[in-house]
Amino acid sequence: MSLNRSLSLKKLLLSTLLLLTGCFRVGNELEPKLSHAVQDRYLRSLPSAFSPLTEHEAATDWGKEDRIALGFAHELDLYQAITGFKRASFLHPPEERKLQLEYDTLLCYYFGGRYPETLYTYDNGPLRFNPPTQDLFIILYDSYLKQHDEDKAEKVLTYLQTTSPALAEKLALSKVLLAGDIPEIEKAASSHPEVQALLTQYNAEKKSTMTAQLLNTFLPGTGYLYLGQTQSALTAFFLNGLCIWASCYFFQHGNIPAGVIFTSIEAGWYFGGIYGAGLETKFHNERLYERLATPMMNENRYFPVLMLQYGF
Amino acid sequence: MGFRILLFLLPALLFSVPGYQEPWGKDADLRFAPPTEKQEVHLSLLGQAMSKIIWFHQNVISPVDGPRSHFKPSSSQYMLQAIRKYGFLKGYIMGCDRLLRENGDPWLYRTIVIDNKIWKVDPP
Repeated sequence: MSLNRSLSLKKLLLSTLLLLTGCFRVGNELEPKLSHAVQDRYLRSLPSAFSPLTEHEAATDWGKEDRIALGFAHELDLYQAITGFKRASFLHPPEERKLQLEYDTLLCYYFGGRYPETLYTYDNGPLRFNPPTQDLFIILYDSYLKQHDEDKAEKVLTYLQTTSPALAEKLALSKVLLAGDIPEIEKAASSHPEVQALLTQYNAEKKSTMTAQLLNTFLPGTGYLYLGQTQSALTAFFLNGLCIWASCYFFQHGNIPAGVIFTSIEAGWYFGGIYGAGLETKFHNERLYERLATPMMNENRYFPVLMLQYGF
Repeated sequence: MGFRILLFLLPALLFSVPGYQEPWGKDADLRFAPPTEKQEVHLSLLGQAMSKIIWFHQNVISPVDGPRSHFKPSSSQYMLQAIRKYGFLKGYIMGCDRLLRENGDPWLYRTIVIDNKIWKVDPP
């Protein structure tokens, strides 16, 4: 009778622990931080979309300002470059050159990661009254995404699907790669061997959130050990052990207040370890994804900024 | 006479505001990130009590033996930020997890170097 009661009590305790562990579940969604910083060498390798200034144009006031601005732009001194392009546009250049200066300003903002200013320059300048080029579509799509304006980005993509389906597909894939959206990446992997290779390696090396949390539930510290954090594992094991021993000791000796204090401290270590193991697994997987995806995206030009065909 | 002119101009000097506040133009922040505005956070009673305890630790206990954290933000600051961001219970649990991880193991953390010391970056 007492054996049955003891067994049912153990089951109840185990169920309660698992239930409480479930309250601290960490999702499997990745939030990787993938970005590509533009280098001046890359900028210089891109040809200009516009014809070079003629001798007559280069001798005008706006032409001189434009040349200075281009010098700054090639050195990635984007603030000075924007100032130069704007100064040139104030000096009454011909209409087609004004458009060029406006585009160069927009390009500076985009390379500098100033997405609101990029969109402002497009929305409030002469560029929007002219048919957009492929590069401008890429810039707008990326800027809308960075501004979390999914609707407008989707509209750009829908339009691109009719005019340049290959580019639209590449941009869509770029979006899921940047977001680390594994289910969507799995769908695209069949037609892209490089993405398949990334996915295979990621799946081989990733850690399971549930395993880490369950390990820490049954034996505090083992979840950290599973992730390769030996020192944290030892700390968790001994601190939990000490607090559990102290709580039992005080309760057994009738010192209820001390027992309650140590139990509440132990609850922090215990559930902190479980939740932390989940968070750390997520972080491990994000770092792994970043390490694997960044060179692949660089090599295959999946960063939108690397899809541009023209520079200054 | 000079003193009278100064006296006459004093109210204008006292209540004047600088008229040209943006000397580098609106694009200047391309290089310098503008400071972000602080948002007021309303903490629960337990959250307020914990923030007081953390204040006591940061300002009374910690200065005695010097900073020991390997992280940026430090573990006490991490717990405070977590409580402000997620509430008392989750913030406290996250803070306990951080204390368990408080060691010199670099693992996979992003790092920054300040005064030749490597700090692990782990915001809540």
